[in-house]
Amino acid sequence: MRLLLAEDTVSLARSLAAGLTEEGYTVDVVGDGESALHLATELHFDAIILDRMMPRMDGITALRALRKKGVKSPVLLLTALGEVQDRVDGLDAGADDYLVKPFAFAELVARVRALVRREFGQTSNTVAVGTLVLDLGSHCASVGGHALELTSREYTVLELFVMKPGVTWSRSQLAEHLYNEEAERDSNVIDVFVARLRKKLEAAGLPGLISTQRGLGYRFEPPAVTP
Amino acid sequence: MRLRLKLVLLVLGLTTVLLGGLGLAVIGSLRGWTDEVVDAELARRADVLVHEAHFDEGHLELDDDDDLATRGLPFRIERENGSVLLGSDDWPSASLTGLGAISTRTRSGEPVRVLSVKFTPRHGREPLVLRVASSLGPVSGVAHKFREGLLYAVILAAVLSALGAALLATWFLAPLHRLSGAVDALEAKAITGRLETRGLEPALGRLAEAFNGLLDRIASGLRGQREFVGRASHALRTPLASILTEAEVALRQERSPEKYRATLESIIVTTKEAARLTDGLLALTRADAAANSVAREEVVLVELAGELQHLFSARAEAGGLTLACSAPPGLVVKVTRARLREVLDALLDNAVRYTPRGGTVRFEARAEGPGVVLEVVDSGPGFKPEERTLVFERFFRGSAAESTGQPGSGLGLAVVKALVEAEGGVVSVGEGDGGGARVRVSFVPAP
Repeated sequence: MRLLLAEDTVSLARSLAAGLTEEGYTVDVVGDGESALHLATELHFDAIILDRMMPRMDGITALRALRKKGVKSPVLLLTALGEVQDRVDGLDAGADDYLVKPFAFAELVARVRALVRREFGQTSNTVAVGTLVLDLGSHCASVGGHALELTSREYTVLELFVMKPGVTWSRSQLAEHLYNEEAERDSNVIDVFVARLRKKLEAAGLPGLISTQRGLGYRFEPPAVTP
Repeated sequence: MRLRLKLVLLVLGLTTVLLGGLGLAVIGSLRGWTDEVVDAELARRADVLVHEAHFDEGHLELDDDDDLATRGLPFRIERENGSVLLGSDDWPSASLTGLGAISTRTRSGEPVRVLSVKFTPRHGREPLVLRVASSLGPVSGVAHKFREGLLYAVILAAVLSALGAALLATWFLAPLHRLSGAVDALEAKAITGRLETRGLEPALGRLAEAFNGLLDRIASGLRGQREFVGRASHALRTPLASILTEAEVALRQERSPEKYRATLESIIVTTKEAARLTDGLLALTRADAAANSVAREEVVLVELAGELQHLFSARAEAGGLTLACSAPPGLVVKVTRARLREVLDALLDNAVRYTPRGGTVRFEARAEGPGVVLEVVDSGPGFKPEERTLVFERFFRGSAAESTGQPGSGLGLAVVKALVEAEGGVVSVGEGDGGGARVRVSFVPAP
């Protein structure tokens, strides 16, 4: 899952990005509203974390501009003021949630997770497709109660597949969710992740879930529910 | 309500006095006029009687006795001692003395007018007194009715004018009531509402405009206040969020001692920044408090320059800068010493921080007219011309601060401005050495 973090205080941005990366998110960091607006219009993010006060363009202005341009990614607004009017302003500008500084990091993660989940139309942290169960909170997958040993990247790919079953993902689309702008990308690596994931699912007794669409990418077919 | 009552009473009083006075004047002149008419009639009759009266064989007689008697116009002719020689039966009054026209009453109380003239009848040897009388009854009846009518008219007019005054007052006060209603309807917190000024009386329109102007000023003040609170709380809470996140993220999993060390060091830096920010906010609050001129003393500037040179030399040396603090001997400025030190510390701190290696930082003092000018000049990145008015804004961070990545609160120059102004001085920025910054603080003694 790819996040955009717009926060001008370097130390906060750095530690938030580190924590979120450890949580399995791919994070792009910008230090002002203008860059946030620019990047969020260029790329697709699964969620955007916006500080309210930033140099050059404040969070609210950037958010309004984003919504005007039709960017629908869920936005979590970080604000210093918890007053009602302040919250109303933020929500009116198009924020999906807000968090008042200082906040507990665990709460930020929970809110981001909820925003991403909602973005994919999921209402709970546990997603089950047949015998395959994903726990979005702990990033664990299991088949029929047996845990599936997955790396962070493999889990992310599986999560994307499970969240949007029947959707064809191109290699670059998958790469966009796995790497931020700074990382070097090689779409062949995606093939490697998918191949490994396929093998692990087969070993767990779920063959043929991921089909290759020639020239297009990959598609996840939900397993038939066994009676 | 009181205004209306006053207006009603005023109009009532004025109407009564005016109409009453007019009525009295009319009554007075009417009476004079009726007297004239009656007197002329009496004089005419007296003239006739004087010519008709004559002595015949020692008796006083009239030429044409019946005529006057039947006409019922009372008269009598007396000797000067008052004994009646001749008179009509219907003589109304008791004996009169004196001559001329007088108004009197009969014994029954009826008003009469009597004219007495002295004359000597034909064949008479002594002068006699002729008195003719005319009843004023009909005339006084008319006058009485007139007075009565006038009284009613005055009362009616007074009542009507009072009612009119009350209505007028209501009519004139209605826009005021509407205006005060509109003011009441404005909510105390949301100063967004404004009074409608169109369609009002010009005077009330001006009042409403003045009121709206006041609301504008209050709203702008509140906006500034809210903006400041917002920025201050953002500036205070962000380092807290940063510290909390750094610590929490570090503790989410086991890490190497080096990682923990790096986190703790970062937390120290952030905490120091937060502390400096708190100092800045407190300094602003102190400086915003009323200026206390009692604590002002004569600061010898050459001493101050020495202190500053001593204090900043180590940092300047470490930064590879040439530092020169100087002041002409004998020059003094009357300020609060601690505040001036705070100002110059902040300015030199900025200069040393932003000036790149190999540059110069100068503090200079000089007399200018009756005042004293203190300048801190550096060869750093300076202020962009478009930033020169903004640098004193609270929480403003210039392009130099962003490009050099120097941590800062954006409060430094705002604190300087507040402190200088609290001391009665003026601060401005300009261009220093080779495009660097020049901050000028001037104090002009009050005349």
